[in-house]
Amino acid sequence: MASLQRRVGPNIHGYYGVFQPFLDGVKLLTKELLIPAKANFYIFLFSPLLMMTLSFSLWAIIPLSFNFSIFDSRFSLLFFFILSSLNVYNIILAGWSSNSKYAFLGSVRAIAQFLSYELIFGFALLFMLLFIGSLRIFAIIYKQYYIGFLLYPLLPFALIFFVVLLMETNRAPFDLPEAESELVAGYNVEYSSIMFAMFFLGEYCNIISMSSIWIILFWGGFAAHSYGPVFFILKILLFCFLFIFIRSLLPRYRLDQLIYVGWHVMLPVCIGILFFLTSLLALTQSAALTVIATFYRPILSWTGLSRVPLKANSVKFDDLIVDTFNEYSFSILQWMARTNYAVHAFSEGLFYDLEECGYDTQKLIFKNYLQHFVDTYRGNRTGIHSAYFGSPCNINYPGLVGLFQTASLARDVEALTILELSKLKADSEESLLLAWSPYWTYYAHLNRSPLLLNYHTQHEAYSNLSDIDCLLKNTIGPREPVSAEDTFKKFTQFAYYHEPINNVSLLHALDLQLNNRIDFPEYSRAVAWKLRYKHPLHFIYDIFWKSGLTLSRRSYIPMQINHQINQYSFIPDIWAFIESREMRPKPKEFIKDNALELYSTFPLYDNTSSEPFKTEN
Amino acid sequence: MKQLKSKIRRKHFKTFKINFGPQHPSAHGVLRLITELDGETILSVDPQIGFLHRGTEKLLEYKTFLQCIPYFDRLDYVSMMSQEHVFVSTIEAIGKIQVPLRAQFIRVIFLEITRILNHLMAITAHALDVGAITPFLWMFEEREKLMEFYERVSGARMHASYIRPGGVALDIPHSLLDDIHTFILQFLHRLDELEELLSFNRIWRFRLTDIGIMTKEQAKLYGCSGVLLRSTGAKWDLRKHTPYEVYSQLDFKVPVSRHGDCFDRYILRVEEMHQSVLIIKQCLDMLPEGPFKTDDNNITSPFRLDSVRTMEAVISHFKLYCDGFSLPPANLYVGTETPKGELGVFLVTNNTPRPYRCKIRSPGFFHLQCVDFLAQGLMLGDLVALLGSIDIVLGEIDR
Repeated sequence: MASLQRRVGPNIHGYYGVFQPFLDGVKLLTKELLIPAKANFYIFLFSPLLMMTLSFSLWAIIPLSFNFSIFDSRFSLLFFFILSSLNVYNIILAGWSSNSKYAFLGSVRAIAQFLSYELIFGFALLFMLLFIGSLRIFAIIYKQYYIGFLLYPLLPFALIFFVVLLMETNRAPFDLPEAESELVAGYNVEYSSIMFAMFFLGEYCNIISMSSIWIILFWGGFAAHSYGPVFFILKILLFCFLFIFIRSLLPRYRLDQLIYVGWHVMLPVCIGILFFLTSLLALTQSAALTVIATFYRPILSWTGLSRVPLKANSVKFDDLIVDTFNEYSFSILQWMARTNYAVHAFSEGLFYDLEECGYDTQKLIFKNYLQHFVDTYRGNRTGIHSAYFGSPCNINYPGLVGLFQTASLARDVEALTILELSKLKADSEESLLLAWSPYWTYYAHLNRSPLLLNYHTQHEAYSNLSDIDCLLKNTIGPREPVSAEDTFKKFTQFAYYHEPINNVSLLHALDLQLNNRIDFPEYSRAVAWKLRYKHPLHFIYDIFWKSGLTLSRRSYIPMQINHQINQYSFIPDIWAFIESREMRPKPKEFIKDNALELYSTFPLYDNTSSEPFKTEN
Repeated sequence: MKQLKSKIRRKHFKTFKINFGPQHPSAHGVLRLITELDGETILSVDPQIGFLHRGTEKLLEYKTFLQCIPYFDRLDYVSMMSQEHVFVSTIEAIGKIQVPLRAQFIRVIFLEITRILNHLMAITAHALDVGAITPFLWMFEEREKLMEFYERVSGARMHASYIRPGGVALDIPHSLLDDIHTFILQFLHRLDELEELLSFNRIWRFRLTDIGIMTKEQAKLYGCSGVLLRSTGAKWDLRKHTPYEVYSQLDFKVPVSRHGDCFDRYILRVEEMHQSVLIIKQCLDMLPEGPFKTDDNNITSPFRLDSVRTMEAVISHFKLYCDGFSLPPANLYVGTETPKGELGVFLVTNNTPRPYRCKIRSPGFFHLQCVDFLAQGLMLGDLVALLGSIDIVLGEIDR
């Protein structure tokens, strides 16, 4: 900022003044804490604490890599939304409790500002739901890992979101609650010493977390076109610079102008873009109007949608919008990702054994795979396509996607391709080569597919060939419904008898328990004990487990497994689906019925061994 | 029910009074505005002055004319030389003192430099109030250069007391002329940068247009002058109407606008700075050789060389600085166009070396009166913008 303003900044302490903020902090700490006589003592002290707490807890949802996130759920963005909305309360409380006129005016302004940006902020999430189909942070990052930055397709919206973030963090030109020249210091005018430092720290903390959210949403986070957390942090710094740049560049808005900008400019623009895109899609849905769609091509290219290699009359845009209710529909973006991955997989020689056997992989891509997809997108939703997608309304017929829970964009493609190839060459020996079935079962377990688990528990000694058969059976033919109870029981048994995937399965059992999907404490405790001394980081899990905090599955899973789980765990899974259909067993009954039964079956529950939970008996 | 209704009807919302100043960051010194607010809308503004009252006018009656000059520097501490110039011109008018042409040109150069100094401060402090920080810091670099010119010509960065009766204190160094020339060339670019940040900034225009609109009648009624008056469409500039010094020989224009809002006042100041640059340029070109003060040793101190050589010079030097010079009995008002508006000095002399009475008409005092009716109905944020555009300095208002 100093260099922008052609002046020398604070550069005395350390190189380029790097110690200046710390020294400022120390200075503020050593100052006397003044509390105005007429202030409401408790609220006055509480609001800076609230500010700090909220702004630091926002950090929890920000992942630094696929392996590291403190808190992750399917509603991470919603969590962000809630916490950042709560942020206005500490301004209101601080301004009101100070019992000072300027502080009061500041808090009144904060309320008005809050009302004017919050709705736009809500639209932000709506956009995310439309284009990503998930509020999970990892889903957003992973999507961008495949299709590149979302900044370009969502450019106008990204800008609006940026402005909203400026409003959210009370930064210039929207720094009305603390407008220095009007309200002296606004809501924090009565604060001094450490309390002021808390406001200050919270504000800057907010800036960094908000900018990291923006980067995750639109600029790929740590995954897209970048190399891990270092790039992520660099991007955040760049974005923080933007905040400061704008602060030094722009004057402040007046209160009513800010409200005007919020309600009359940004909100209509937001709704306009939304309606424009949806109506565009509605238009192009009808086949007669696909020609019109070609005229929209420039706009589509601007929004990044025309990157789909389409012929003019084969455009079906209805799948662009991912509806959150139907798990089996796909956006064109997703489809692009799949196709891209397939091409990538082939070109990288993932199927090198195919080539060894004399297949022309390039030919296979275009003839069998791509052509097939193009066909399905022309409207032919039968045959292999339905085998792949399953029936959207029938849970008993989930298809391959259901089987794998659309676990990875990548694995789906592989599975489908292999399935396709094995069908073509079902009677030849090469089909054995194609079937990487241990791999599949692994992923099936990772994603807790009850159908596949069911199969595996029936045939404990499985072969590659039978795996393929099973898949074909399960996906193409309608089958019996599997109860969740059954699945889980067998799942846990399976987990014990299959050594290579043992830990993963155990952890998933634990995971199920921690996510309250199925309550099964004894088992998870056993797992915890087993894991305790295997990994240096497990004491963290211990802490969480003992304190009853189950923050996230990521806090305790060993790193090497964690990586693979994280990649695929964001897809809306069948458990959620089962839950929504009320097929989930009621937890209490389940414990009663099954705990004892499993207790007897597990070799680990040996009363003679020195397990800690022995004492509980 | 009826009672309840009447209760509700009787219950009215109280208005909200805040003390805007005297410790407020954008009160431009120690101005105190008792502001009545309805929400954020201003109902009335009651300016309270006197926090910087130093009794200058009374003090002047006990000082010799020469000792009076530095007090004028300190009235409006952002346009220093213009102030002393008014006082000095009054003395010269009463004493009928001839000023050499070179001194007149030097005066005009520094009057215009002062105008630039003042307008830079006015605009950027205004911008700072509205929320733009950067122009303030950028333009302070330019102000620093101008202050350096002050220092090089008089020895003092701010309170120069450079303009003396009968000329100027010291001759202008030749190298300084070169530097002023290079300054004005690059200053136009700096002005463009300023305008890029402000004039073409949507938020800036959004904040300023149609804020604090003043009509020509109001402006005349309240005794406004300078930019405030010209923004309402009145063509009034003392440099044109009653030309003093060498302004009649110079070619410059006086910008006038019609809307009378804050943005007009801002843009007029920018344009006046452009004109000032032109004036300085012309003065540099036309600056004649010759003496920089009168030969009259009763009024100006003799040249150093003379005071060493001749007894008379030593005597007059002693007399000048001990007793001062006296002026014939007269009462005279002289007003000039200072950057803020018409600054006038009404001087009563009675054949003594001290003024009998010296009344200072400061433009800011008249401008501050207008704040009440200009601010009514505006928001609190606008009040700050309005105060900034009026460009008040409490030093001259309180005197």
